[in-house]
Amino acid sequence: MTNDNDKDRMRFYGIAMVFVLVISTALLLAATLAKKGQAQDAVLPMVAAGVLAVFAARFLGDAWEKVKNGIPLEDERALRLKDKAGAWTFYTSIYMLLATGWYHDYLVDQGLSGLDVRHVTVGAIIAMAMLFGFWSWYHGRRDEVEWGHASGRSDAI
Amino acid sequence: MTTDNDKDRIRFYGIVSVVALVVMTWIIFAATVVKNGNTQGAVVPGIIALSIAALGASFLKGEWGNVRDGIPLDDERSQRVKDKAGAWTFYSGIYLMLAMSWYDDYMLDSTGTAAFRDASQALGIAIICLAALFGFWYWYHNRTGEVA
Repeated sequence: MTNDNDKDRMRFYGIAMVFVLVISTALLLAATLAKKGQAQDAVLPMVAAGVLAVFAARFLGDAWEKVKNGIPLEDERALRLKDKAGAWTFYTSIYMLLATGWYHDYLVDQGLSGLDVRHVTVGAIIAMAMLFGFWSWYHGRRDEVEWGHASGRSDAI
Repeated sequence: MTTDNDKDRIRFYGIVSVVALVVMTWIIFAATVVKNGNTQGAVVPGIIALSIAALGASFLKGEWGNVRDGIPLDDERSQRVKDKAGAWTFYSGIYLMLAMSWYDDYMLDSTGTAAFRDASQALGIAIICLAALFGFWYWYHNRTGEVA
């Protein structure tokens, strides 16, 4: 029978695989672009892969320490932090999408070619992922995840 | 000095204004479409306006009951339900964006015509879908009570 630590271990390997897949996708894109002679276009995916690799190494290092020592990967605080960061990402992404739509219209009004639907949607996904990272860091730093704690209200539902 | 209930009352009026603005925007949009001679095109905005009006009325009625009885508008539980609904909207929003991108490509490949007029229309649809998803996830988490 699998215990909680075994489940966390499997989850850790799953997260590590996702990171490897995402980083290798960015690297493959950079390599393909470089092969086509578009070396300048390959810089951005390379930088993205590098940044992701640094974050992944740090995140996975912490997670592995927890798994190794039998500490749950996700405690109550981490879950609430994730919910809060996700909710703030949703609220801010609405404004981001509105701004992008207006920017597209502005470009068209100026007689320039507008944004491509595929580029906009993929760009939005990347921006949302970055916003999630920012809000996770922000709420984790401010420690405001225990809503009602500062005001002395009970935490129990 | 303003009490918490006064603040909730002001907040309630703010929410009423936002709901009224959104419903009016859709009605004006539908009216403009009809005026341009496209009666069929006004059906969807009309249905959206009515749906928002019905949901808004039901929601505002409940909130007004709270404000009138001095119950806080946002308690610990509703705050968590909102956070959870927002987070789930974000997770499902990622798949929505991916699906929109693939659908646009698919339509372009199979019919030669893009699914969306331009990026602006695609983003407008994405915002409406995200709002609808938030409503769904709020209802779901509020119903299942899995917020702890």
